Amino acid sequence: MPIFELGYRSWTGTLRPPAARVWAITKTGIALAFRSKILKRIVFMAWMPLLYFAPLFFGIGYVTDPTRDLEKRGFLVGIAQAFLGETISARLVTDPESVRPVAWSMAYHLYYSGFQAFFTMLVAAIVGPPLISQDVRTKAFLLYFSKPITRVEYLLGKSGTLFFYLFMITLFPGLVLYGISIALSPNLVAFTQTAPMIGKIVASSMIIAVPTTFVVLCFSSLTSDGRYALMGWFSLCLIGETTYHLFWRLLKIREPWVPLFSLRETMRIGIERVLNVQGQISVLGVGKDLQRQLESYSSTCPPELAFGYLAGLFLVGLIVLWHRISAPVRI
Amino acid sequence: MDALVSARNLTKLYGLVIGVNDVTLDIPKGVHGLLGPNGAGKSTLMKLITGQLVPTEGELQVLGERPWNNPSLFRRIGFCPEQDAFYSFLSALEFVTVLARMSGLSWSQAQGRAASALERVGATEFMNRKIATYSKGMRQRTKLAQALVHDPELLILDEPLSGLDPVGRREMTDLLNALAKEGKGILVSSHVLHEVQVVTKEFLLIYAGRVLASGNVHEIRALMNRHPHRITLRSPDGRHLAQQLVRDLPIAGIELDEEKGSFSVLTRDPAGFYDGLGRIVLESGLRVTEMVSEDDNLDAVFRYLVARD
Repeated sequence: MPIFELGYRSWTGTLRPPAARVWAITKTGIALAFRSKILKRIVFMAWMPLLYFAPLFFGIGYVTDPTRDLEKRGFLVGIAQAFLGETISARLVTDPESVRPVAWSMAYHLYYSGFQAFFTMLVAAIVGPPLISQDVRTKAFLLYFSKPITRVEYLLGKSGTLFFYLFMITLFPGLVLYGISIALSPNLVAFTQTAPMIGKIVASSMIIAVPTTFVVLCFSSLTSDGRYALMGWFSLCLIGETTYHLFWRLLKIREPWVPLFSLRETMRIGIERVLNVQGQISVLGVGKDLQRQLESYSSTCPPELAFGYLAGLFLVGLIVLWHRISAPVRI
Repeated sequence: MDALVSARNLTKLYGLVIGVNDVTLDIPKGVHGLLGPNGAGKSTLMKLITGQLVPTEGELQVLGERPWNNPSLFRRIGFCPEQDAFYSFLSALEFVTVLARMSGLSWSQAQGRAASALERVGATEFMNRKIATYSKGMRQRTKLAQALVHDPELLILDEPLSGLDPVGRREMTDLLNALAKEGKGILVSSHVLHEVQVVTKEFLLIYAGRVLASGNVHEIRALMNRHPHRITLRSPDGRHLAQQLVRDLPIAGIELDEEKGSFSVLTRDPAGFYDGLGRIVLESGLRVTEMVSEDDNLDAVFRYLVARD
């Protein structure tokens, strides 16, 4: 009877490329974060707006279908008037397909800057704070950096975790919504008219996810206790939002820098610029209700300033992160 | 390149505090102990070797390569830190698997290798439990398993025997001996000489950030034996016992402490002293209620070595 040696054997396999190690860090972070029941519920809730927006896009597709008799579009036109305003709705009679892009842009603007920005704050607050602070507290970085990973790979891996969850509630549902909308559209014209929207969905998601990720990770790297990072993130969001409303609504100060207090409003200005809602509304006419529509989207803060501010947040976050990660023992 | 570690004027400063001070050394292949009291600079030296810290001055090469900012080197090194660097909400199997993936193993291989490494360190029984529930010994085994998982050439083990019970210590030293026989380079730090002398006879003595001495255990023992060992005894018959010890045993000096009711004996032949003490106590009926040998800890050895001139 042959007797085989059991137990430990030397390993002679081939090591995977660096990208696999980045994914190992990201996947571990994703799996660890997903153990949180609260996170699961919030991610689930973040998909709920689709229940509102999918029928809305179906309605937009329906009322902008030129092959349908306007009389038969009946009550949906009424809903369209409530959402789009009278002037734009009037276009449904003369040139229904021209309304589609602006209606989609308005709907996506509401979706991203209204609903998903709120969920982003919550998801970032749950996933982000422990990502690096936990490694500092448990000294896991000693083991991370004793493995063949670079600081860049570590940073990519950690940010990948937060990107994954933020895209789970911004990019993925946005694309799903787009797919549903195309599927429910009456003809292929809808696709040719709205194809650039895919790029705008990606850009809008990036506007939300990139600064959020790096700011939250920056807070996380500054402490060994995730609760302080959480407090830092909420302080930035809530105090900033409160200050913005104090200046904007109560004190009526409308200087260009005032919206920058609010991260949400700054992102909204950026998303509005990407979706070009104002530009598309403007080409439809100059009715009074259109003026009101335009005012609701406009801001005293130019988009360039908003983008600059968001880029600044990203850079500051990146520099601080890099400094902290480059000297882990010093943390 | 035959040396595991080669340093030239290696210095690490933490602000104004010196962690490692102008160290020049060559550690050849094999198993080596890094001995020093707490705060001597062992962990700093190990962190420099594993690329966790950048040298302030000097040159350092590990397996012929510079460790700082050189992740590819760490495919060849396994590091077991002194601290518990865990995600305690994971099981040992999950934790070691994650680190195996970070070492570059594929998804499919990582778990098998992790289980194999954990089996090797005797952790199979508890590897599916959360690390938070582990004893110190279980945690040490888990840390060692993650250092072994990618089959490195060189193992850097920072106080791997710390906190282990005698059985765990024996099992761990058996494992280290087995790894050494396989030809792995091992650098193991400790502040207790007898802990690591069962693993290796070759030592570097670190003190105040400097390499104080190097050589094998016999040389270190001989160096120690040039200086009298201090043994403190407490006895209700202290004066009588002291008189007999001075008369019958190889003693270099004796100090009485009336307040504590104890006395300290200085001897250059501790083995002879212990033999004789047992005989005297049995024959005379004098009682010894407490006996402490200060020289059993490495601090005393270092005090001797630092003050030898």
